[in-house]
Amino acid sequence: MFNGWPPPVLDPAGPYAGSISLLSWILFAMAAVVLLVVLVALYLALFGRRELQRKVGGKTAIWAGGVAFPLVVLTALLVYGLSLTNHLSDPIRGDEMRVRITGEMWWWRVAYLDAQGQEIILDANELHIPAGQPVVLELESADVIHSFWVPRLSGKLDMIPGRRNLMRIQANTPGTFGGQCAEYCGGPHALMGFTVIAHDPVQFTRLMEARLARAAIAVDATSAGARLFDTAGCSACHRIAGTDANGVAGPDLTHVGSRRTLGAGILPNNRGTLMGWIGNSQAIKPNNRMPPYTLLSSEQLMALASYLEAQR
Amino acid sequence: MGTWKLLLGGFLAWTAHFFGVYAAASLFPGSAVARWLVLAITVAALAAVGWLFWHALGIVRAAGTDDLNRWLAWIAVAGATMAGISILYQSSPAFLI
Amino acid sequence: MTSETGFDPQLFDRFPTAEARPQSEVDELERIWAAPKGWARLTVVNNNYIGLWYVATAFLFFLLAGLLALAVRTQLSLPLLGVLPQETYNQFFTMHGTVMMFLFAVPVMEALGVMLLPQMLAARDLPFPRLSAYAFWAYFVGGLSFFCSLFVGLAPDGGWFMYPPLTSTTYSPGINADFWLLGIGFIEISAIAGAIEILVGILKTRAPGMTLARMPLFAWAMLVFAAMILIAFPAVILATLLLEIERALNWPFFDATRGGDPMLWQHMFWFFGHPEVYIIFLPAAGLVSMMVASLSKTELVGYQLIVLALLGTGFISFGVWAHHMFATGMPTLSVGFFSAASMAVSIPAGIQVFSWIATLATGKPTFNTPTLFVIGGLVTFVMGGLTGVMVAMVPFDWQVHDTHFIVAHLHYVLIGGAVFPVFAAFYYWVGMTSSRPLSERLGKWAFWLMFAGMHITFLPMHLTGLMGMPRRVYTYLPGMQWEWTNLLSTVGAFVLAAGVAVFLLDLARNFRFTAEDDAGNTYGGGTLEWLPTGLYSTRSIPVVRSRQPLWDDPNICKDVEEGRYMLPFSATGLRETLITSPIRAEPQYLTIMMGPSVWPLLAAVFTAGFFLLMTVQAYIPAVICLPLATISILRWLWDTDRPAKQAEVDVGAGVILPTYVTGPSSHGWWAIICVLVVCFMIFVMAVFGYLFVYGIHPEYWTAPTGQWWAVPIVAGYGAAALLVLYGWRLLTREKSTLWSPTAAVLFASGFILAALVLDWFSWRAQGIDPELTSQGALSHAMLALEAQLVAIVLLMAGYLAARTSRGLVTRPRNTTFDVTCLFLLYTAAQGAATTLLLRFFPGGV
Repeated sequence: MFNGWPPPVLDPAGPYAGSISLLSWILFAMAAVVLLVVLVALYLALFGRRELQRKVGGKTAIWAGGVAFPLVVLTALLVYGLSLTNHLSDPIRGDEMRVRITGEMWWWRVAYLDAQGQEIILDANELHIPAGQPVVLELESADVIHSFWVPRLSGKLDMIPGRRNLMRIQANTPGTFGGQCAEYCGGPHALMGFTVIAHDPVQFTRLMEARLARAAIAVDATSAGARLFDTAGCSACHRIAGTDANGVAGPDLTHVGSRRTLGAGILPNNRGTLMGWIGNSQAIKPNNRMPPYTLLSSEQLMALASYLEAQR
Repeated sequence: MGTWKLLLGGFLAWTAHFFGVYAAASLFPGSAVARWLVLAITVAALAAVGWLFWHALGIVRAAGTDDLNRWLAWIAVAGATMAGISILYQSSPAFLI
Repeated sequence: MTSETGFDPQLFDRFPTAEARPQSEVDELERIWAAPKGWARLTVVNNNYIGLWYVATAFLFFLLAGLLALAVRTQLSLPLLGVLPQETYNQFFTMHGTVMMFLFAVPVMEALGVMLLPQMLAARDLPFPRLSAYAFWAYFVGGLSFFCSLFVGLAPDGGWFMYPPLTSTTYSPGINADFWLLGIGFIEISAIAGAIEILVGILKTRAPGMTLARMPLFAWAMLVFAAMILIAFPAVILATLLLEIERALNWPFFDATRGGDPMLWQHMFWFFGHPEVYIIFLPAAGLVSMMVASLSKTELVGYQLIVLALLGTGFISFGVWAHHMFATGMPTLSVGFFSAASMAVSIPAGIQVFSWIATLATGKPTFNTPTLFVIGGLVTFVMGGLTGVMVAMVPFDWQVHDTHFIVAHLHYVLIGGAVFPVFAAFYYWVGMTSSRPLSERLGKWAFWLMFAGMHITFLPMHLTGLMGMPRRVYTYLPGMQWEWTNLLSTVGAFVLAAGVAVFLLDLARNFRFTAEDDAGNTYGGGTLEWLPTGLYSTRSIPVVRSRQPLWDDPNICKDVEEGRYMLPFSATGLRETLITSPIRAEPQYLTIMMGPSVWPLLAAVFTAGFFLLMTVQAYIPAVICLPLATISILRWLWDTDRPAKQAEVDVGAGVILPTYVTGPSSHGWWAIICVLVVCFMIFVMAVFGYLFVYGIHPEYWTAPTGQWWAVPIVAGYGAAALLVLYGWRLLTREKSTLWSPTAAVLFASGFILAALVLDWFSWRAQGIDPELTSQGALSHAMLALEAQLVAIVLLMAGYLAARTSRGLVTRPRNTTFDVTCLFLLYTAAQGAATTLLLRFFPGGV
């Protein structure tokens, strides 16, 4: 999901990342010019002709190069940077679409909110948004500090226990955008990815309606996979809407079959990877909170995986 | 005026200004009160730095000042200038954000 | 001519003196300053030894942390490698950062200060030689034991910044985090001890005539450095103390579920952490300023501007701490202040860079090894500074914060701003302590390998960060395109390591320690450290008339060696040096300095033992170590503060100086003021924490009742203060009995203790439980801070009583008495302030 080339910081997909990308190029140019000035001065100091050396060697040069020149550059940057900061921190209005994302050791809890702020759809490690409009994220943490970062859509913002941080993201066109936890959160912090999927607004509305409708439907609890999900203990930590499984410690699996990835952005999602993950996720993502189920036979794993695949 | 106060006066004014505006912004987050307070603190700090600047410049120019005093006063003049610029920088967020 | 102290500057014109001096004086100096032999060598306190051991230990930690970095780079060279398992990797990167910052960067600067400053200032030693020895041994024992936690898998793994709640007992139940908190907290104490030594040394033991305008720039830089340590380090000491209390006693300072706030740690940590970067950079900049002038064979261009830049950096760097926290969701306006200060702080850096370039242009530098390191460092530092300006721009920082872009930036700043200058300094100053200089040929190899390796490692790393790779990740997935830049960085790291290996080879081949027959002034420096020296430093202490006395006065080496300046002998038959005034360096008095002693060593071992045994939860041996450490410190102090037999001596050419001075002009007074500044900063940070947490979670706070308790408590502290002042006056009256001044101090201590006890029990009666709310935790922590001070007060009062009983408290003034009184006054003031804060805020009158 996360593609390193072209560098996502410089390859924005929305207005918030876009203005920072422009700023980045301006800063690179500034750095290049200043470095060139210093290197030329240094070259003249060491190898220049005597009269040039005398110019570089005077107090005037220190005032010009060390005080006046930086002052002009810095003042311009400061004014620009502060205005941009101000622009990017527009106050959040009440009527924008909101999603609550909670950082957990080492995955992301996602809850879509209605206008009253009630959680109406639960999901994990994946966020669906409508393209072309801003979405407000309520960033929280359930344990330690995490940081939410989807570089093609916006800068990062920390998730801090006891606090709620608000940020906006926006994608201009439909697409898939990778993200990662940016604040060291111990253990497998390296393997804590995230995916944002921007849809055409019409499709997005349809998706949300389908998911809302799904919550009201009871799931057939008689399949081998469904029974195993209960007896093997999965339901103690995971919830699937319309079943007795209502654990809250781990990710909500109501829509797990439709997710792009498994294990918080580290594996593609298919039956094989599902079986492997359930069987021994510790080998894939050491020290994650899910115990290994090495006692399950491959038939049982298959049954579980196909049951989960169907949860879309 | 003590040598150390002269030498460090500009930067001490900067320190008072910095922590003053930080406290103002923390006590009244997101309000106009914070901006007015920043303005008031900035004017006061600039006045202090300006006074120090003229006072030290007087020592630099005074006839009969010995070398060391003149040397120290020159640093005070330049330090007040640097502090003044930093104070202006420091107050700019209140007007740009 | 103006005078600072009433000293007649015309007396300086009597030096150099004309008459010849007897050789017996030199023999006498050698006898007095001789170092013990054999195992007793460990008890030396002389800066020639302590300084070198200190530098060597710091360099050892540089190598160890460098090896950790190589392992880290190997693990990251390709995706999903298993060179280091996750747990080990997390310990390795934590230890790499921690060891480099706390056990290499700051100590190496202090070490260079201890080694170079006395000679640079032409003092016989630093003013408190046993304190240097204590600081060194504490660092040596504590640092090595801390590092050894790696070998048993107990090394901290929470990152060098140790953010709670990841480091709280809930998420880090092992003792790994305790190793960091107790180990580093303890090493900070050693750093503060060193800083006090250096600050007082620079202000009070300069050669006569070395005014502030003639001070070597390294001394200026170290002055700012030491002052910054006194202001910045208390913040991290308090933070580690609070987190350790939270872990051990379950008091919620940072736990949001009980009204604490994890951001409090970040504010305290970075209030120390960012000045720390300048604490590392300024001494290195001072070294560069001195070397660049000598290597170019010219006066430094813009000396005055650099002094200005050092002072400016010292202040403004305290306004940038929150630029490490732009992504935490702070109010926009506050973010703007920190962004602006981060911009402003680069102007002093610009001044220094262009001064160095101007000096290179004015003089005729040859491209020898130190010059290469200086120029390479300059270029690298400028690049790091530019990315620093970039990340000071808030929106850009929101993108690159906590990515490998920052890793690249900080290594450019620290390697360019500190490591290369330190290597230049190794080559430049090695002649002071080795009988052979280092090899130019190997040195150039070392430089080019290190320089190339540094850029191959870290230049591509900027791109890795822009490509989205976060910091502190133990691995990454294939398919992210991060392989190539990472592989390149790993190759570069090994090239850099090869450069360091060549330097080690150079050391092995050429470094031969000596205190007397050193290789000398290989690069033609003009400052006083290049005067001919022995263990007693220079034979006589020269009168300084310019910034480069060796260049301006061709006879100075000969005159100094022949004893034609001040103090060409030992006036009292003891170790002694000149104390001069802080601004104009006018001679004030002669101080007696302590010689070799095993007590600082034992004190350091027992202090380290206390902290380390606490960490491994061996409480009984730990509790045994504490009194042993205290006894060792008191025993070492027992020998101090004793007036010499001669009240006044002639230090040469009829300049008569006293041998015992007390009060505000004495170096002891300056040192205790430094200690009180540290105590005060700890208190200020605690008050900040108290108000900050209240501001975040006021719903956990209640207004205390029974505020009238404040009246008797404050009255108790007030009575103690009055008694102290009365005791001080009694001491000056020759008519008062032997015991009456000390009795006043003892009564004052009793009042202080009573006030504290009253405060504690009346506060406990409030029912604000320290384990339940942040108010309980913070209020009890503030009382505990006061209790610590009171414990020291009682110890000092007892010590004063012991000295009184032995008739060691001189009249009309006595330094031990002064120091005790000042500490008591401060403790009473802080106690009263604590009571008023707890009882009247929040809640109103």
